[in-house]
Order: sequence, then C-alpha cells, then structure tokens
Amino acid sequence: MILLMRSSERTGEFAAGDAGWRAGLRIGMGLAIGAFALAVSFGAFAVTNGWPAWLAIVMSAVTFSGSAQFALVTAASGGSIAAGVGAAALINARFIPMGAASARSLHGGPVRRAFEGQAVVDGSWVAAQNGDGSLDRHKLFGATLVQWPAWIAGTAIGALFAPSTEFMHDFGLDVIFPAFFLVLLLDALRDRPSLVAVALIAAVIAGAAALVVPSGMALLLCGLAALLAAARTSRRLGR
Amino acid sequence: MTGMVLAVGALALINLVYKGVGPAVLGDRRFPPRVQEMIDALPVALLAGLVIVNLLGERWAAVDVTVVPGLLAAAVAWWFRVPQLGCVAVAVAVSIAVRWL
Repeated sequence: MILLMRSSERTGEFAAGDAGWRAGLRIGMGLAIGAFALAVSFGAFAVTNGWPAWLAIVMSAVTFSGSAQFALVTAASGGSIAAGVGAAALINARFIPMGAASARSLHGGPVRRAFEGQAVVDGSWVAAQNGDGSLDRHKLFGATLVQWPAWIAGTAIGALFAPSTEFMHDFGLDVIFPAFFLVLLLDALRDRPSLVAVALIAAVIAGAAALVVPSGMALLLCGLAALLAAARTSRRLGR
Repeated sequence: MTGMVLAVGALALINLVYKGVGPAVLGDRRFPPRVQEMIDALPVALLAGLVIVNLLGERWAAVDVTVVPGLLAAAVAWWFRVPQLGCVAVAVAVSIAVRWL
C-alpha cells in the first residue's frame, strides 16, 4: 500500500514536472521571439562597433544577458574594455538576489543547484514564479531552453546580415519585448493585486533611472520598489 | 582582439558566479517574512521596469509613441483573456498599422 502511495506520489511529481516543462516551453516561445528580435539588433550593433561576428555570437552563447552585452560593446567601443566589464557586472548584479530567491526551489547539492541556477534569466524567472515565494523549476528550465538558441541565432543573423533599424521598426519587432513583459506584468498583478503600488513605483524608478544610467542598472534599481512590500509586512508584523 | 576575448570570458565567469552563488550557498533555507515578501514583490517590480526600460531605451533614446497604441491594444486583448502570444501579436499589428498611417 505504502509502495503504491509512493508510486502514485512520484507519478504526480512527474505529471507536475511535465506540465511545468510544457508551460515553460510555451512561455519561452513568446519570450524567444522577443529575444530573437533584440539579439538581431545586438549582433548588428556589435559588428558596427568593430567586434568580429564570431565573437559577438560566442558572447551571446556564453553570457546570454542582453543589456550587459550592449553595455560591454558600448564601453569597449569607447576605448575601455575594463570599464565595459565593470558596467556589465553591475548591470547583471540583479542575478544575485534572483538566484538566491530561487535557491530553495532548485534540487540537489550545491554544485547541481548552482548549475540549475544558470537557467535564471529575467523573463523565465518571472514566468516561473508560483506566487507563494516558490518557483516552478521545470517552467524555468523550459522557458530558458527555448530562449537561449533564439538569442544565439538572432545574434548570428544580426552580426552576419546587419538588418537596418528601419526594417525592425517597420515590422514591429521592437514592440515584441515590451508587449510580452506588459502581458506578464498584468498576469502577475491579476494574481497579486496588492502589488499594484510596487509596480507603479518600479515604473517611475525605471523611467527616472533610464535617463541617467544603463538599462540593466535601471532594472537593478527597480528592486527598491520591492522594499515597499517588505515595509508593509514589517508594519503588519509590528501590530 | 585579445582584450575583447578576455572581456567576454570575464563576463561569462561573472554571470556564472552571480547565478550560482545563491543556490549553492543558501540551499533549502527559508527567508524571514520581510525578506520573503520583498522577494515575492521582485518579479512585479522587475516586470514593470522591463516594460518601461524597453519602451524608453537608454537615455530615453528609444522613445516611440507608435508603440503606445500597440501596448494599449495588448492590454485590452489581455482584459478579454486573449492568450499571451495573441496579445503580443495584437500589439505588433496595431503598432505596424499606426506606423503606416
């Protein structure tokens, strides 16, 4: 009987895992279209700034981090590669809290968890949230698995064929990413309407920060809006 | 060229450490309620930031009012429970139409 129960629990786990993978791959398709469009513009941007096409493609394969890659290429074209690496490191610092928040949802020992943590990228991490502080790791893996090759392929096409910005604009490719993130945001707020204030404050911070710092830094600063939620919890616990 | 290759290698290594250190060190540990609430709110904050940053671009260099009707159309489609990809397709179609006008 116990064996049967364990077997049915395990079957349930596999079923949940399959559903997570399917959901992740489905969400990843949408994110991949946006990632592909952005990667095309990155590939063209890198080559225009004197980077060999092969190195731009390798960069996308081994770093897979849009705004940091743009920052590195921008700073390097200004003559300072070290400053570019520093800026990219600051921009990607948001992956530290995101990875830490994912820790208990990942499996295995430290090395395996660290390996599974490599699947953390903005869109996938957000999409994989369960809404209770935990994360669906299969959904995370599925969503990232689709985006990664799209990011590399987009970079390759951009670096080798360098399509014009007019082409991207005329076919609305620049609309894909903001539209997809907007839909994900609306979905998240439907589940947690109490976070509307956090979203509004983050939007204001992003708008102001984008004027003076690189995009990735602006995103990092948006995390300050989440302090509002922590403050509300403190007040509730203090009562 | 060597500098560029080293820079790519350095960025790859930094990413590897950033993404791996939390999961490797923290394991199954749970956060205090305040920290957990902040972590729960992070995705919403990050998404709102991603929408705005993508809309404005660095130094607001990518501001393009033709994107706004597209995003509004996506929001309306979302309200009518259109699937995610459908909402994005609506946004693209409306933006293209506005740009052709």
